[in-house]
Amino acid sequence: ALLRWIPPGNRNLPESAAEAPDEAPGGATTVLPEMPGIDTADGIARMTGNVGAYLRLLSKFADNQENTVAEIRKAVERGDTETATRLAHTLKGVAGNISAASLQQVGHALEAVLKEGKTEKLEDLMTSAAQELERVIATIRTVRQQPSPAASGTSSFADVLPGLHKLRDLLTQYDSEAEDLLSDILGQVSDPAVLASLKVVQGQLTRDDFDGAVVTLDSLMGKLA
Amino acid sequence: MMEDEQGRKGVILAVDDAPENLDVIKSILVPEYTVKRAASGSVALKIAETQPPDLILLDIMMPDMDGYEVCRKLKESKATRDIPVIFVTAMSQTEDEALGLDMGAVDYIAKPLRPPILRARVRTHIAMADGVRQLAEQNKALIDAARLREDVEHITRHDLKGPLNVIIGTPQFLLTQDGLSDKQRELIKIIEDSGYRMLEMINRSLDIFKMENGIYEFKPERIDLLAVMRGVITELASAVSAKKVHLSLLVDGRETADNQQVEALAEPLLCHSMFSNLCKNAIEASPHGDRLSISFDLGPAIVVSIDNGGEVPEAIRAHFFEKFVTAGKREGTGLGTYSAMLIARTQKGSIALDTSVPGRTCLRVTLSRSFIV
Repeated sequence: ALLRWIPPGNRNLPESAAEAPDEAPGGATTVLPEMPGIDTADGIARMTGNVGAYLRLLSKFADNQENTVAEIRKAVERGDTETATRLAHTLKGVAGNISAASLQQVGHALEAVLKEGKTEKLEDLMTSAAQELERVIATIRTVRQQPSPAASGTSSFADVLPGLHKLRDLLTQYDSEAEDLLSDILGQVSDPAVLASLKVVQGQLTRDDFDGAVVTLDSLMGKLA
Repeated sequence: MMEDEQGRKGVILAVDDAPENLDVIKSILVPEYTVKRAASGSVALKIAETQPPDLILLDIMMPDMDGYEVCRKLKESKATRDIPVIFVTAMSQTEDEALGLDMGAVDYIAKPLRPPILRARVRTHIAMADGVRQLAEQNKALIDAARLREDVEHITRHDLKGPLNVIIGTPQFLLTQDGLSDKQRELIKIIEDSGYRMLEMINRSLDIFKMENGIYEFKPERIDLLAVMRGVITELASAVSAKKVHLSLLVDGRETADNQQVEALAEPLLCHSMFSNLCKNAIEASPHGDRLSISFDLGPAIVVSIDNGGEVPEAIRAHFFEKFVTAGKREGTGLGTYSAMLIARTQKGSIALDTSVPGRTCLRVTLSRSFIV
């Protein structure tokens, strides 16, 4: 499959050379191995050709959706069909967006039987959904990027302070680019205490908790200023 | 980059409880747009209210507050109601497209997202919202201009009359005083005459204004139209003799008898003004010593034809009755035939220009007849 690469120089991505899209002639998907259950070419195209961003998306999916079918089962058991239906709907939508077509289909079927109350098919569908989700997550974990080597940064707190002020601005604006700036700063910092606090901010951003992230950052900057 | 005239990037607020979906939206729309993220309806409402974006991409099925509810609240608030909302959804039976559109959303986009479609819809709806905003601004400017015009009209019609009454009244008082020289009397008389002319102009323009706006109250009465025309001719006698124009007044093609009457349903003052304007024009346009005929033809309606020598220039024939059109007369206001046309129409009649005879001009006014029972 051909990927639709974005013309060079048109974007400020990728952040590092390791994430650079493969621009070999033909643009083959040589960067990623075959991933059963996931159409990676389709997925990378959706992420406008940014392989690194796609891998982070898959990783986020694996972390966030790992227990979704288990949660659906729990909701069904306590009779909360509404939550079960919503979770199945969300799973379907996210699976579609990462290009996991068969998971999307089983999610769709599960949502439909929950909505219609067809209990006789429910057990089978929850089982297939669990299996398909497990397969997709396993396949993601096989290609998951190694966590970046322990902080190699050399910058002092004072050096990154302007960056932190900029980060705070972006956080109060709920700006999606806060996450990218935070990654940059994390790569520069050497102080383990600062690093630990910024990791907390990063965790909050993963859940889109911008308000919480501002509080954490303010506390860090207050302590060290 | 999608930037406005000030070089500011468009701002999109993306709302979804699944961070993965927000990542995909961000990946497609950054860096053309600034993308703000909200993981819940309540955060989205807070952002929309305090930092209004140019467009909102809204997930429907979210815990606590679903997308329909968020949309409803956005449309309730004055600060956020004009922000275009697009629902972004993995469609299913649990979602009702019509419901979302009823709530004021402008569009639906299906998950999984396709980058060209998302970009195109976002661009389109931001452009449309900009267009609507510009139209609203233009409308406001037009309304302001109309209000200004009304203010000016009000000033000329009402505010000017007060001082004008003093200008007219004072000369009358002065003229009763003794000891004025003839020259002084003459000058005072000129002031008085000018005041009356100005009052006449203001009154006439007030009537025109009312007729233009369809608020003139037409109060027809049974009048002798022929007598009105005779009055006009008497007033214009000096102009007629100065030009040595041979004037004839005919009813059904025959010279009129002194006691003859033509009854019409009309307002005498309006008819006087209309005939006066048309006859003045005819005399002015007529070559020296030429013939000018005014004929009344009585059929189901009364047709008054004023026929004079001279031609209306080709260039202005089509616009003859329009406001401010003049045939190069130095003192012409361009209001004579325009007001004649308004008067004819206000009296349920009509007016027409006939240039079919070379070298001549004929104006035909048609008015309702009054049949004596």
